[in-house]
Amino acid sequence: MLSENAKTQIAKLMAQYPDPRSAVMPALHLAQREVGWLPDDVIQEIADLVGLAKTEINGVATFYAMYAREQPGTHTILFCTDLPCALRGADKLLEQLEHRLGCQAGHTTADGKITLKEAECLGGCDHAPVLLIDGNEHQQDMTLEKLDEMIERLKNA
Amino acid sequence: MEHLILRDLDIQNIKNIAVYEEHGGYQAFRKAVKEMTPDQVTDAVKQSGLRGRGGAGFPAGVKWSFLPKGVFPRYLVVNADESEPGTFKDRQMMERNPHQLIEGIAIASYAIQCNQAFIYIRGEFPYAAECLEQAIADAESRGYVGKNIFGTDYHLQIVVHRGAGAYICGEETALLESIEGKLGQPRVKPPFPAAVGLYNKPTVINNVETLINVPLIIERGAQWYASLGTPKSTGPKVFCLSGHVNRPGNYEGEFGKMTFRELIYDLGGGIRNGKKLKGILPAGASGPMVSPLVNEAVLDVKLDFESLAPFGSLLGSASVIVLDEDTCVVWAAKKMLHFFKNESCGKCTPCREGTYWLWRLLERIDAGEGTMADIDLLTSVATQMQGRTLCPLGEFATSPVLGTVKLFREEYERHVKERGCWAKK
Repeated sequence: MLSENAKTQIAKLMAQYPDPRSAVMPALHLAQREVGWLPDDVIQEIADLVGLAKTEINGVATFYAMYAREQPGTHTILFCTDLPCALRGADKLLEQLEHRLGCQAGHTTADGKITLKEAECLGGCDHAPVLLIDGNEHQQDMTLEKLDEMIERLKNA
Repeated sequence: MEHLILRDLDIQNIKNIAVYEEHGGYQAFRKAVKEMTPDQVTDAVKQSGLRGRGGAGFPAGVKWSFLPKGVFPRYLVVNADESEPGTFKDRQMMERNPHQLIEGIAIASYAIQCNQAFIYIRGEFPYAAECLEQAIADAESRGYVGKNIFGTDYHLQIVVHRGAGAYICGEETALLESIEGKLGQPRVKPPFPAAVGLYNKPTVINNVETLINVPLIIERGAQWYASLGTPKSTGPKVFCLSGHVNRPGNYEGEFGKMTFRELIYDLGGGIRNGKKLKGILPAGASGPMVSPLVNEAVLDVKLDFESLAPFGSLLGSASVIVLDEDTCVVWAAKKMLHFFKNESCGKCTPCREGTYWLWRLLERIDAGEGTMADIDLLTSVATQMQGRTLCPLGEFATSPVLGTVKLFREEYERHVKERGCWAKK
């Protein structure tokens, strides 16, 4: 369930645009930040707030890669494996990360702490390989040592 | 050399509005609003020769003048959905020199007489989005954005709209759909956005790098701007350099002056580990590869929008990815098709099916399970996609295949003959 504060903010977003439907994406971002992911009841709530059918909201939420319709771990790592990162060792590094976490990309660690996903270009090719933590923290020029530090930090956070 | 776009390299803290003002910030916008009519601003941008920096190179001023007269409201949409593999120039501009962009947006909005502008920024750039929101708030506090700007009756609101991970939203009509709260899928054109755009209203869509040039044109004059670059591709250009180079990064130059040799060897410090240069992707994944091994002359071409055509390629948004001699081109093509397959929006069949089958074929050849007939099938599928997709994504997706087969067909054949990839052995 969304908080009253979130609902107020969504109402503000709707007023910001000529058409309230434009608030769908920012509302999904806001809900995901608050709840951690987008369960069915939250999709329904947003549909009710914006005045659209639930299927319309679900369509948007499943089209865009950054929205989580399944419950992820406490933290989500998006790991870029596109060409510019791959040219600088991203594939091998991802394998090592999978080994360290004991889970393949697309899955969550057994303790539920970290979800690992392959990502398309994150726009940090001058510091490849790069990854994005929880949709807001870029890590760049990744090495095995940096990965270890990151895992340690996320597991304890 | 003085930077005109990446001014953060010359001026510390130019992202701070006070610092930007100290260096002439928002004077161009003041001049436009106080001393020029909207048509005069548009004419100046036309005369400057400014061409769109998103890749297509369409003249910006001409685009602005396409809006039908007397139809309001109208909108300016800024394409900050920078998602092409190998592109990271707009990000640097937004994070480190945001006010020059905001000023460009303000001038363009005044020129087309719109009162609401939207910046569509990809969801993976949260920091850049925060920098823009801060810059807009600061500009508003100084009266550059908001009501009664410079004491006139002109008012402007700028909204930052975050995407959520879909490369296709860089396509302008998919971007409009996305702002409208729908799936990011391209519209059938015509009608074009100039007539029927955002909320079915007349709309101009410009790239970040296009708009960040606009204050320069108003401040220093169209003639001065047109004197930079070449007669057909005017002004400064930011080149993104990535891949197997010693110093990847953004490098600002002028159209018609920069060469790959200068970019890769002088600015980029050459190929890593003293290796030889094998291939260059001038436009990220979206343009055909060129190779100095096949034709060394490509290293000394003066780069502008048209100059790579004799080499079968294009500059696009100048996202230059460099591959060294140890890189397998089949593997590289497979990587790029994996990207296009994942990012195809699924609306039109040639792209949705074509990208999938190109990727599958490349997987098979790369794994040593391909046949000689697969190589012909690859080019056949790619050729059949051309001209038949709803938007440029499907067209671009054929480039990695057709470009590498043309340059290095023997490498594809070697994968078949040797039942696998030489580079992995």
